Amino acid sequence: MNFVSMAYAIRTGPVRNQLLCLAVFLLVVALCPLVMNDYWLRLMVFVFVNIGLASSWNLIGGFGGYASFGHGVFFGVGAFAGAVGMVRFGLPLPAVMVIGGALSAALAALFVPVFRQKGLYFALSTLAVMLVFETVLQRWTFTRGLRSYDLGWTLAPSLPLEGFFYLFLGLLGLIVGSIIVVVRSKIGYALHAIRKDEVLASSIGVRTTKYKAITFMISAAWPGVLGAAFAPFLAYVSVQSVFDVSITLNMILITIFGGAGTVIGPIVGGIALSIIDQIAWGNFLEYHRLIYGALIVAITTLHPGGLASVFWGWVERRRSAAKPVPRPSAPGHPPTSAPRRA
Amino acid sequence: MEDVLVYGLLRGGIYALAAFGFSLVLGVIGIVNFAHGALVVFGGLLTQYLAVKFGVPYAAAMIGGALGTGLLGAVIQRLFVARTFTLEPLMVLVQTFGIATVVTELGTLGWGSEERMLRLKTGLPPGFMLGDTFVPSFDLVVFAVSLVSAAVLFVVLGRTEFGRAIRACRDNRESAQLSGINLGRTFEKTMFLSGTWAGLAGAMFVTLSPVAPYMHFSWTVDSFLVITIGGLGSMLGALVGGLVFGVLSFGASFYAPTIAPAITFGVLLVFLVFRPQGLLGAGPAIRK
Amino acid sequence: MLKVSNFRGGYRKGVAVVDGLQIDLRQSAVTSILGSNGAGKTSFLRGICGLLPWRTGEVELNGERLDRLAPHDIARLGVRMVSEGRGTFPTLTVEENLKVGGYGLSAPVLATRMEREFNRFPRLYERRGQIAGMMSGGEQQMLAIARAMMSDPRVLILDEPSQGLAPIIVDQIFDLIPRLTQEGVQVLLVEQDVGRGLEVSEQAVVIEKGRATLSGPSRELLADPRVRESFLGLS
Repeated sequence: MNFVSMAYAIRTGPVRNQLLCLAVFLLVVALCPLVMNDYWLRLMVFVFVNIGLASSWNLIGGFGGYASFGHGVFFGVGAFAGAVGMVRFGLPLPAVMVIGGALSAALAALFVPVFRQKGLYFALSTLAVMLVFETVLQRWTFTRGLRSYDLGWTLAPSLPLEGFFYLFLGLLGLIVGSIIVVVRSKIGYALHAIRKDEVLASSIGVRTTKYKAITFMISAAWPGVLGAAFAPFLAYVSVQSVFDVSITLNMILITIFGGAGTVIGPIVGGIALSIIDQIAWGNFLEYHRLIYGALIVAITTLHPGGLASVFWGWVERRRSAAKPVPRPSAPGHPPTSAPRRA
Repeated sequence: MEDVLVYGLLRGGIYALAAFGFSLVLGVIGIVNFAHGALVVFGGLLTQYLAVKFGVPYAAAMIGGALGTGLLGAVIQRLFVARTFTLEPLMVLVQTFGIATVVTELGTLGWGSEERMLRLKTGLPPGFMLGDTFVPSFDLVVFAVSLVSAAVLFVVLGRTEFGRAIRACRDNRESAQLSGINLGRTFEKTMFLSGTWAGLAGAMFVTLSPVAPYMHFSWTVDSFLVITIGGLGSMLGALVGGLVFGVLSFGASFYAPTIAPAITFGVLLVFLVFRPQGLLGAGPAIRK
Repeated sequence: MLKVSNFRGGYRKGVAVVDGLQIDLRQSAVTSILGSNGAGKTSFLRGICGLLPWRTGEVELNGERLDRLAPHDIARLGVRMVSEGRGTFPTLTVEENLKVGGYGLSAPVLATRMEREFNRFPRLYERRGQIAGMMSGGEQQMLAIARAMMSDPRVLILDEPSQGLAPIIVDQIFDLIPRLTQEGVQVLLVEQDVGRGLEVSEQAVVIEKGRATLSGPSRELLADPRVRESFLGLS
């Protein structure tokens, strides 16, 4: 079995195989601390968080077709839950992670009225909610800091660096695993229908609002968990550090760079953009943002499907070159990992 | 209270100008242009550059800045957006975000990242009292110019063949093509109009307040807010929305400067939930 | 004179919705394309107008090749289509709709053409300032036809002109078709009502699953037992 048919088999095969693949990937990455110094380990943690956030965004934005432009709010709320919980109430890390996830999911549930609106309104209202929360968390003395004049929270790092590395790697595994399962479940098929034609989907009995709400809550809960876990890693939590617009933009960029609506997209996108980022930072500091922007323009203009579609396009060509007749049960894309445009 | 109303309205004219193009592009091409704010800033800085560097009289610099921005918009449409927008609106968001970054960074490299402003000596009296409110006459002139340019845009869209073609493409792309209208060209012209009026907004704003490349995102967001308040797809809505938003944002920063953004966005949320079509929203016939 | 040969086309490359159709309008004033739902009639028309994402084959208008042109160029050369569901511009007034139909014409020509169309459809004159989206289906159908006629087309393509209209309006539309041809326009008509489509046309093509199954003079087809059985419900 060569590489091409293996890739195809995993993509179309049962969920179990995909999860197995994920596990192998995680195990390989788990060996990194053996050969990496602290700088690279810290960097890897950021990459894990970015991929985890992008994967969560991808669930509602990529699979559901509802672009959230304020998804950073869930990460921020999680981070504040972590900071307030650990510093003010002395809770342990696992507890604040659960609280962060639950708070974010509850916040997401408040969006149900907005779900009746079309995509643009949704994007706008998520953006608005983020900006409202940013201000509230910054002004409210309960969340602003421990003492009245504090503008943020200082946390003691509760784990060694390797500990954080494995914590975030584990979280990443859970997030991606849950997405693999969700997109192949009833929810995933509903999302597929919603993205293709929402009116049609609801006319044939798909309860669109219900599925959008569930998806949005899952996609909000994970950033909340990540945010709570990230608080002690960051050591200082303030509105400036965890509510930055760039956090949301990164989620979107990574997803779309890699391939929206595919499981692998955010992973590939996260890794690729981190590498580009490193090179750009290291060599052309002054032009760093310019290079970043130009790359985004290039990929969206030349390959709107993202890197994943480039890859799957290549796989498809290799497959059809290998056996021209009979055509493989043609366009039967599983909703899981099919590139958005064949 | 009167102060807030007067100053808010005076600024609101410029917000409306900036939002016209955003609304037009959203309505006709069907995309959210994240580079729109970058166009506003570009127009302002280009005008300032022309006036300061080459000593061009302000009126000429303003027109030059506006047309230059329009051209940039058309180029963006032809080279980039045209290749992507039919596939996925979501993709265009990211693409135009990238374009905004590139334009901003190039602007920073060329013009520097500092805030710039263009002080004009007009020889006008400083202002007059309207009741208890001091009305600066220069701001009033800028407001008048913004209303005039809004009127020009209304005439271009409403009375010319060019405007008719744009509205036809907004209403029904396929029928427009079947009537002999070149869709791609019309979209480029739409982007040109959008950019020109964004540039005008920037050119006027730079005479009142400093402008710097980093401000592009807030101009995009403000344009978003204006058309959400006023109503998508309606030019009159954008005008009303701009004026309302001017009063709202000025009032928020006047009465509660620390939580001003939260107030404007709170109002936005109220609109989104209770009146998503905006104050003067177009009917379902053309809502996208 | 419109001639289409060996036409294939569809919405995705390689998946032909229309598969190898020929049609030749020749001297026939009205030609109809008949077939049941989903037979590929509309796709075929869209293909002629350049609106299909994928197409091969030849489309000629008086010897000029159209098949590689963009939709707006095809329209400018004199092939105008009134789409299914009419496709008027809902927020434009009747007058503006007509002006868009004459896109690119000079103001005096526009004025005379508009007067001609108002004579043809007095109802449109009464409602000339009205927003098209507020008009009834029949009025919109008239507007769509008038808009297409504004450019003095050589070929007028009508896609299901009777769809969704009251019977009395349908009668009016079908009465109108022969009158249009007096001005030198050839009409290509797609109609689900096979009987009506055959009555009004001189020659006809019956298509099924993207292929032509029968073609010939309409009178002969009207007598053909296969047509009578499968489309007219007669035996």
